[in-house]
Amino acid sequence: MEAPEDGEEDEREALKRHLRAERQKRKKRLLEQSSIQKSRDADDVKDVTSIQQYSADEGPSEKADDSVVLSKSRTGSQKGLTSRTQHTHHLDDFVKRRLEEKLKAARSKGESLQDKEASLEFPSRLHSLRDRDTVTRFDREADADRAGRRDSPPPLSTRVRFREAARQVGKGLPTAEEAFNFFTLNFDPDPPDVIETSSRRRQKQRKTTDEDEEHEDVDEDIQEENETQSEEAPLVQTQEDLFVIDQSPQDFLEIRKAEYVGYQKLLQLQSELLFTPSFRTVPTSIKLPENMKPRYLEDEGLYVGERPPVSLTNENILENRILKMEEGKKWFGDDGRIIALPNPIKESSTRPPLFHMEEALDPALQTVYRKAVKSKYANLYIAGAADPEGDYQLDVDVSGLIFSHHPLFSREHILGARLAQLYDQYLTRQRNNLTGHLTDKLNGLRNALRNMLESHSGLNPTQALQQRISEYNLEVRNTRHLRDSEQEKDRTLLKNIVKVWKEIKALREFQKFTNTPYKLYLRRENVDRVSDEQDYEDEILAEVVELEAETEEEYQNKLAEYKKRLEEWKLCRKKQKAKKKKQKKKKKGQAQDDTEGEDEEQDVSESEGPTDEPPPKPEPPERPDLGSIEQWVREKALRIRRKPGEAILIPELSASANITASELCPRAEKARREDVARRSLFTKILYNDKEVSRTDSRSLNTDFRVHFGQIFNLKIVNCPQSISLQVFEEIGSSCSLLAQVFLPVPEPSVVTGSVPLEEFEFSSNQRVMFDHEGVGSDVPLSFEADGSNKQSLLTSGKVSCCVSWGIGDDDVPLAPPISQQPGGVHSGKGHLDAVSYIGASGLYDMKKIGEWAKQSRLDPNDPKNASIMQLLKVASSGEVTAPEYFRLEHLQEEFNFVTDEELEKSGRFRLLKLRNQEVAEFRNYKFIPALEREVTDTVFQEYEKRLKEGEVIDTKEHLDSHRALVAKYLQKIRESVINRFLLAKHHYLLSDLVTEEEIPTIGILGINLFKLAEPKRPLKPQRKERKKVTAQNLSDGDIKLLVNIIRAYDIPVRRLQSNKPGQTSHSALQGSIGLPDQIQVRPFVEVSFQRTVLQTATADGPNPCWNEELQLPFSAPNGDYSTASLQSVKDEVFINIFDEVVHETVMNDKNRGKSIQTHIEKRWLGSVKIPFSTIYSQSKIEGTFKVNTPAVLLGYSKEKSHFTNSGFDILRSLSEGTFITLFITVDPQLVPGESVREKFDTQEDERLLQASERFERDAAQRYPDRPCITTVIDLSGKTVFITRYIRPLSPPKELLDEFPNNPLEATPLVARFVSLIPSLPDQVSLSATCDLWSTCDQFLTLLAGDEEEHAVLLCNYFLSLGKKAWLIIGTAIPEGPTAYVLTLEQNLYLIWNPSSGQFYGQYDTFCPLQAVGCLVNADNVWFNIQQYTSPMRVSFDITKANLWKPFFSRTFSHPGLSSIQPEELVYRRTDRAAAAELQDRIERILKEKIMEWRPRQPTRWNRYCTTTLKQFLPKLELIRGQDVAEGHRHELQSLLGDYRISGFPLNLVFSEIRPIIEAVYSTGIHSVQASNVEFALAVYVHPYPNNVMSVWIYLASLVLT
Amino acid sequence: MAELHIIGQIIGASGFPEKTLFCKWGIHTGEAWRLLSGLKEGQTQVDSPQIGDIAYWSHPIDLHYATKGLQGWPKIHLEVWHQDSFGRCQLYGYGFLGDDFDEKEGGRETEKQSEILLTAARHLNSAQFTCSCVIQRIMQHVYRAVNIHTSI
Repeated sequence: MEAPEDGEEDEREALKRHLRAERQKRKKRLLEQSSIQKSRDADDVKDVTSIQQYSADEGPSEKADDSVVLSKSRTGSQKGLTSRTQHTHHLDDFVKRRLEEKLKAARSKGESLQDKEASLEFPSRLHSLRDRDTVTRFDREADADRAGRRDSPPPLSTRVRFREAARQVGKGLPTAEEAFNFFTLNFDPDPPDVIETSSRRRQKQRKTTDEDEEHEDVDEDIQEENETQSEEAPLVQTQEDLFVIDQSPQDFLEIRKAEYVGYQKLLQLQSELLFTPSFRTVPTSIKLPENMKPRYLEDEGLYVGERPPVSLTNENILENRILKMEEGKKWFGDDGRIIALPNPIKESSTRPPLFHMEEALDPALQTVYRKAVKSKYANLYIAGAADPEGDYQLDVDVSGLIFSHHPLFSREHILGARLAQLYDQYLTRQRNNLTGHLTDKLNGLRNALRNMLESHSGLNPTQALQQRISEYNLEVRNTRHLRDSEQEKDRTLLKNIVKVWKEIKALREFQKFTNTPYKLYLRRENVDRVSDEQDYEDEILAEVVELEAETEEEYQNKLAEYKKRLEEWKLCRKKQKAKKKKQKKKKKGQAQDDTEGEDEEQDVSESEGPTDEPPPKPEPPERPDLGSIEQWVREKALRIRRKPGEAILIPELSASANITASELCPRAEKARREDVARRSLFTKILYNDKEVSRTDSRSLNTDFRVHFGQIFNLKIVNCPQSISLQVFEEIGSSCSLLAQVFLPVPEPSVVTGSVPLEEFEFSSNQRVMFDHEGVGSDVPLSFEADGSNKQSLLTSGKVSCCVSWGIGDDDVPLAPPISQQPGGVHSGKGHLDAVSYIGASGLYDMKKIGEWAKQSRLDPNDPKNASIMQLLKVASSGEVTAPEYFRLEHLQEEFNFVTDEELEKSGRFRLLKLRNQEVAEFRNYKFIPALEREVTDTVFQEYEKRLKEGEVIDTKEHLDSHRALVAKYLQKIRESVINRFLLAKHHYLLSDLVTEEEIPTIGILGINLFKLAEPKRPLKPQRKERKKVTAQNLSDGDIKLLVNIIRAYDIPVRRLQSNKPGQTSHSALQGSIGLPDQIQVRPFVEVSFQRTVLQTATADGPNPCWNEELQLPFSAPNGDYSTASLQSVKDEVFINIFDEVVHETVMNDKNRGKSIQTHIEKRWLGSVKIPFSTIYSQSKIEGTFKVNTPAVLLGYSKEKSHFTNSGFDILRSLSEGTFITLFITVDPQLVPGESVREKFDTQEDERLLQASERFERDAAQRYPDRPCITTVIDLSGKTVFITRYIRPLSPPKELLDEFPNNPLEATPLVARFVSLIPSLPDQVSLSATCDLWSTCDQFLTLLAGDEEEHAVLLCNYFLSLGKKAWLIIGTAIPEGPTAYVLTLEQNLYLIWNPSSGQFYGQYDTFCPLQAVGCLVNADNVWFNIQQYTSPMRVSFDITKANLWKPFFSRTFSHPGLSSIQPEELVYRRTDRAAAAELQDRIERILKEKIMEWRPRQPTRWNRYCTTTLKQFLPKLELIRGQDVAEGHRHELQSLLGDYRISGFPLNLVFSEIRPIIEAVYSTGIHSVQASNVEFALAVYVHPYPNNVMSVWIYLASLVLT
Repeated sequence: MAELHIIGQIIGASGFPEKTLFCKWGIHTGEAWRLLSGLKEGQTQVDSPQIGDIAYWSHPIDLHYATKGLQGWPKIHLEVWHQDSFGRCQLYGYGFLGDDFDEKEGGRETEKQSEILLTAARHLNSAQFTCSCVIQRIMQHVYRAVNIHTSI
C-alpha cells in the first residue's frame, strides 16, 4: 500500500492519469479506424491488393505497439484507481464518475483488444507453417521464394478475416453481400501468391523483351501451376493467370468430356472380374464327399458343444465361397457343417465381482500391480538369450596330454609305450585282484558244497537239496573257468611285459642309443616251497576231482540219453519191422485190391513217413578217460600258473634309465629329435562347436607328454550341447589338427574340486611319413628281423582333463538345475556305485532290490557290492518284506562315525556333562581339557568312589559312628535340597544380567559440582560407598579379607611367679596399681585365615589399642568365585590374642664372656573365631566381641574391675571376660547370595499365608532393617508358620536330676547342653541361600544346626521349665540375622545366646544382640514397632500394642495352629564307654599333630603334669568353665615346682576332629622355641545325653627354670 | 566325535498386533546328538516396549552338543506369545529354523542375520500374519554361534 501523499502529488497523479486516458482514447480511435479499414479490406480483397498490403503492413505493427501500451495503461489505471479510492478522501463525485467512465471504456477496449491479441497470434504461426512448407516442397526455388517473402511484410491472416466476418455475423444479421462473401470467399490470403503473381508479371514483361528464356519460363509456369493447385489457390484468383499462361502449353493438353459408364454395364464388367458367392443354402450333399451320408454326432449321443451364433446368410456365403476353393471340403465336418469350435462365451462371469466402493473392497481381493518379471530360468537356456543374471560357469581343466603313439615316435618309443601300457594294465589288474577274489569265491563255494554234502551224507537227498547241489556245482564250474581265464591272463600279461622289455633291451643294444627312460625290474618274492607245493597239489587234486565228477556226470547224462535214444530207436525198429511184415501180409493177401491197398499204403506211409527211414543207431558214449583228466589239468596249471615253489615275479617299471644325449646319436635319430623339438601343441576348447578358448602352445617333449595345466572358466548362457577339445600341432607357423576329443557335459552335481581328472583317448588316421627315425603314422612297420608281422600304428593318445561346474563365492554351484538339462545327460564318471545306480528310491523297495540282486547274480565277495549285500542281508533275513514301520532317520547307523559306547567312554564329554549337572565334585570345575587324551581317569576316581561307597560309612574321619551317620544323612539332605534349588537358582532377575550404571541426574550433578567448591578437609574423610563386585569376574588374589583390630579390654595380666599362693594374687593386683612401670602384659593379636597368619604390633597393658589393619588373601575352593561356592566356604577367621614374653638368659662363654640371649615367647590368651560365611553374608562385621578365654590361664589373672551389684545372683558373671573391638570386611565387596525366590509347597491355610505376606511386607516397608519372620521352610521344603515350632519340650532328665531341688539352677545347664550341639550354618551345610528350620527332634538327630534351631530348642526347654520365654528374631554380631531367646525372670528380661549358652541382662553393654525385630512364642508373633531396636532401649512388654504389633489380633485371631514339634523328645542315654574311647582317640591324634607341627624340635611330654591336668578337667566341666579358683593352679605349681608353666584348658563342642585340631593349632602352643620345653596334654570328653559331647583339652607348656 | 557350540541370542520380535511379547524356544536334534551342557529350551522374559515396535529380549542361548552322526542337525523352534494386562498368554506365532541354521561355513567367521518365517497361529480379521525372524550367526568351523533376532 502506498503511503499517504500530499495534494500536489495527488494532482500530479491525476494529471498523469488523465493524459494517459487521453492517449488511450486516441489510440482507440485509431484502432477503430484500422478495423474499419480491415473490414473494408475484407470486402474488396480482389481489387485492392495494394491497400491490403498497406494495411497488412501498417496494421499489425500498430497493433502490436498498441497492445503493449494498452496493457500498460490498463494496469496503471487500475492501480491508480485502487490507490485513489483508498487514500484520497477529498475526491468529489465528478472525478469519480469520470474515472468510472474511463474505466468502462478501458475495459471494453481491453476486451476487444484481447480478442485481437488472440487472433494476432495466429498469423505468425501460420506464417512459420508456410515457411516450413516451402522449405520442404520447393527445394529448388526456395531461395528466391524465401527472399521474396522476407521482403513482403507479415500478412494479415485469413483467419483474422474469417473471425472478423464471424464476429460481424455474431453482431447481427449480415448483409447480403457479407453473407455471399462468407460462403463463397475462400479465406486463403496467400500474400506470397500476390507477390509471385506480381513477380510473374514482371517475368512476363521480361519474357516479352527476352524471348530466349521462353522454355524455361514454361517449365517454371508449370511448376507454379502445380504449386497453386497444391495450395488450393482460389480458382478465381488464378484464372486470369491461367488464361495468360495456358496459351503456350495448349498443344500438349487434350481436353475431353468425362466418360460415363452405365450401372448395368459396370455390373457386367465387374461380374467378369469378381466372384460373388451366392447366399443360398448349400445342399449338404455337395459339402460332403461323394457317397457319404451326413453323420450327426449329437444324435449318436456324443456331446457336441454349442456353436457360436453366426447368421445363416453369412454362413451360406462362407460355405459357398469355401466350396469354390481347392480342397474346400476339408472345412466341413461329418455333419456337413463348417467345423467350428464351441462357443467360448460363457453365460456367467467367472471373475469375482469387484465393487469399487471406497474402502469397501476386501483387502484380500485388492488387485496388486506387479511389474512383469523376466523369468530367470525360462529364457536362460534358450540359445542366444544373453541374460546377465545367468551366472553359470563351466570349468574346463585341461591338464595335459600323453601320446600313446605319435608319428615322431622312434621304434623304442613304440615299445616303451607298449610296455607302459602293459604295466598299467598289470597294475590295474593287480589292484582289482580279480584272480584273488575268484579264488576265494571258489574256495568258499567248495567249502559250502562240502559242508552241505557232509551234513546230508546220511540222509536221502531231497529234491531241493539236489537242486541246490547241482546249482553249486554249476557255480563252482563257472567260477573255476573264470578264475582260470583270469589266471591265464595274468600269466600272459606278465610274459608279455617281460617279452616287450626284452625287445626294448635288444633294440637299445642294436641301435646303440637309448630313447626312453623306461627300466623294468623284476622283483622276486620267494615263497615257502613246501606249502606252496602242497597248495598247488591240493588245487590240482580238487580240480581233478571236480572234473572227474563232472565228466562222470556228463557221461551219465550222455549214457542216459543214449539209452533213451536207443530205446526209441529200438521201438522204431520194431515198428518198422512190424510194418514191413504187415505190408508183406497185405501184399500177399490182398493183391487184387491194389488201388485200395495202395491208398491205404499211402496213408500209412504218410502217417509213418518220418519213421520210415530208420534213425541212425545211436552210438554209445565213450567212457571218459579219467586218467587223461589229471594230465590235462596239470598241463593247464603249468600253462596258466606259476610253478610250485617258483618265486613270485613282480615287475616294477621305473623311468630311471638315461637317455643318450643327441650328440652321440646317429644322424637319423638326431633329425628325429630336432623334428620333435620343433613341434608344439595346443588345444582349443570348443563349446557348442564354437571356439571359446585355447591353451597356450607347449612344445612337445621327448617323452611325448604335454602339460598344459590350465583351467578355463566358461561363463555360459547357452545350453551346453557339446564340449570338445581340439588338439593342434604346430610346426613353425603352420598348424594342423591332430584330433578332436569330445568331453561329456557334467551333471549339475559335478562341481569343481570334487571331480578327479579323467583321461579321454583320441586318435587320428592321418598318414605321416618321415625320412628319419620317426616311424610315422599309419605306416606299416615291423619289429621282426625278417620284416614280417607288419603293423601300422595311428597317432593316438590321451587327454587328461575334466569338466565341472564352477562354484560361486557363496559356495553355490553355478550349475543349471537338473530340469534344465537337455535330454541325454552323459555321466563322466567311470565308476558306478551300485546303490546310486539303482537310485535312492530303490532302497526302499527291498523286493525290487532283491530281485535285481538275484538277476544280476551279484558276487557277494566283490567289495563293490558289499553295501548292497549288507543291506540285503539286513532286509531279507528270511522273507523279503516291506517294513511296516517308518524309519525317521534311516541309515543313521550307517552314517555314524562313532558308536554309542565310544561316546559314553569319552572322558571329556562325561566331564562336561557332570559339570553341567552340577555334581558336587565337578560343580565348580573351571576348565575342561579340549582334548580327549588330556582328561585323566583320576578326575573321576573320587566321584566313582562316592557312587560306589555311597552307603559305607567312614568312621575314621568322624571318630564317632553316630556322627558319621549324621554326616551321611546331612549329605543326603544337602543333595536333595540342592537339586530342589538348582532350578530355582537359574531364575535370574534383571539385575543379575544387566549391570546398568545409574545415569547421573541433574540433582546429583549439582551436588557434585557443589562438592567441588567445598573446601577440602583431609582430616575429615568422607565415607565412600564401595563398589559391589559380582562373583563371576573374580580370580585368585582379587579378594582380600580386611581385619581391622582396634582395641581390647580386660586382657588377663601376668601373674608374678611366686610360690606363695595366698599372696601373689594380691600382690599382683596391687602391683598393677602401685607399680605402673611393671610390665603387666604385652598383648598382640594374630589373625589366621586359610593358613595365612598375620599379627599386629605388640602393645602394652591390659587395655591395649592397636588400631591396625591386616590384609589376608582369600582364595575360593577350586578357584570358583560363584555365589554358591563362596557360601560353602567353611574356613574361619581365627583372631588370637597372645602375650609376648621376653626371657633373657645369660650365657656364660669362656672365650667371649657374657652374652645375653633373648627368647621371645608368645602365650595364648584367648581367641575369637568368625566363620567366613558370616563375613560373606554380612559383608562387614563391626563391633566388640567377647574373647573366648579359657577358664583357667596358668600364669595369668584377671584384673577385676568393679562389680555391678544387682539383685540377681546370676548377673554376677556379667561383663566379665575379655573383649576385643574389630572391624572385618571383604575387599572388594562381594554380593551376598540372594535368598531363593521361590514359592514352596505348603500345608498352611491360604488366608494365613496371605496375612503373613502382608505382615512381612508391611514390616519391611516401615522398618527395612528389622528382621521379621512369620513363615519358615522346614527340612522337607514346605512353608510352615513360625509359631508351630514353639512348644514346651522337656530337657533330658539327667540334666534336671543334677539339681532336683532348684530348677532355677538347671537353667544354665540346659543352656549349656543346647550350646554344646554343634553349630552349622544352613548356608554352609546346604550351599544354598535358604533358611531351613528343622524341628527339635530332627535337630537332635542331626546334631547340627544354626542359631534358629538352637534358639527354638532352648526356648522350648525353657517353656517346659515353666519360664516365660520367647524367641527373639533379630540381628546380632557376628552372626547377623539370628534368633535368640528371651526369658523373663523376676521382672528382669534375660537374653540368651543359644549357641554359646551365655545369657545377658537386658542392659548389658556387651550383649551381642544388636537389634530386636520380632518376638515369637507358640501363640503369636509380635513385631517391634518402637523407635529403637537395641535391646537396651526396647521395652519387652508385648501387651502394649503401640510397641509391639501382634500378628494375630482380634481381627485375625489365632486359628489354633498345631505344633509340628513332637510331643516328647526321646533321648538316648549317655554312652560313657564311647566317650572314653573318643577321649583316647582325640588325645592320640592331638599328640601326633603337635609332634607333626614341630618337625625340628623334639617334643617331650610331661607325664606327671598330664595326669594332674587330667584330674582337673572333669571338675572344670562340672562348674561349666566358670572361673575356678586359683586353687588347682596352685596345686599344679606346688606339684611341679621349678617349672614355668603356661597353659589353658579349651572347651570345645564336638562335631568333628578337624575343628579341634584347628583350635589347638591356632593357640600356637606348639611354637614354643625353648630347648628344654615340655608339653602336657589332657583330653576329657564329657558325655551328655543324645551323644552330645563336651570336649575339654588342657594344654600346657612347661619350661624348666 | 564332533562337537557343536551354539552361542547366540534371541534378540526380539516386532510386527505383532501387540507389543507385550515373550518367546518360548527350544532346540531339537536328531537322536545322534547329545547335549553336553546348556539349556536346550527356555522362555524369555516379557518385554513391553515403551518406545519402538520391537520387543527386545536379548535372550542368550549357549549350548554344547556332541554328536556321533551328522544327521538330525539342531533346529530351533520359536513361539512368540503375547501376555495381556491380565496376565493371560496367547500364542501369536511360531516358527522353525531349520537347515539353514546349520548351514555349512567352512572356516570363515561370518556374522549373519537371517530371517525366518514364523507362521502365525492367530487369525485376526481372517487375515493371517506371516512373521519372520532374524537369526544372527557367528560361525566358526565347528563352533557355531546363533544370534536370533525375531522380527515379525
